[in-house]
Amino acid sequence: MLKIAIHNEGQTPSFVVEGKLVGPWVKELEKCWESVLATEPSLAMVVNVAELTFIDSEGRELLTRMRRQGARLVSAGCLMNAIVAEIEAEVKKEEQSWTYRP
Amino acid sequence: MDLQTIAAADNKLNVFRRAVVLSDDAPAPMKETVELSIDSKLELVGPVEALAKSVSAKLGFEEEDAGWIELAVREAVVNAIKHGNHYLADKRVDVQFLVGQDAITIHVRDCGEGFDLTHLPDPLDPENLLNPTGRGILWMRTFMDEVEYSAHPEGGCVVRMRKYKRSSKKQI
Repeated sequence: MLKIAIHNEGQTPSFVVEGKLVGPWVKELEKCWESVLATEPSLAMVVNVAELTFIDSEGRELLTRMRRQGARLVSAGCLMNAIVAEIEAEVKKEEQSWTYRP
Repeated sequence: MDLQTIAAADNKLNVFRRAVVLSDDAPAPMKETVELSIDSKLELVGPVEALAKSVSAKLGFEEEDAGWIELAVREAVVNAIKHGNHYLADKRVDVQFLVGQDAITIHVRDCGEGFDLTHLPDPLDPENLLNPTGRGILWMRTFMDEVEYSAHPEGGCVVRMRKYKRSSKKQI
């Protein structure tokens, strides 16, 4: 089961994703994400993944892409904290490599 | 707990985490549920439509049928926002896609008080033909194989729509 809740109140829209982010359902989340981005392209978004119970490599890739586009990932629990920390480190490393490029 | 024990536990957790994250044996999507919950805002109908079309196309519905499903879901969600929740931002619309082998079942729930189908104006009545609204339920019934309305036990109105794949219809 994958549950996506979109909250669009205030300045920062947020996505709350629960359940399993796997296989074909990753594309569904991406479509929702793109659809909201199309209407509010300038706003940074919050993606709450604290209630995700399972994530595959495609799901992780999507979260990384979201983070690269400026989303703030909110996590809880050992597993999701570790995955988000890994994504944060990856994106930071990329940003630094851009900064230091001559 | 000494450092060695902590390191061993951390290593075990890392192995488990990688096994979970990098597993390619993702469960099959059949008989799965995808839920989308949105604020009562018309600008959020887009993501629901996109999801409806994408899920039905993935299930193997023909492009035309996927388009009809998308339209029916759009009508149900717009009705929920407009007539069920009266555009009240604190009231939500929940959409559930139940994906089966040969059919898709969609539940759209609002937080409204429900309505009496028999009291709705007939959109096919010559008097209503020029009325720009009031065709949503007719469309849903036209595009989907089953459409039912009910009250949710926790409050609100639920519309349940089902569409069978063309191949499975022949077997019925």
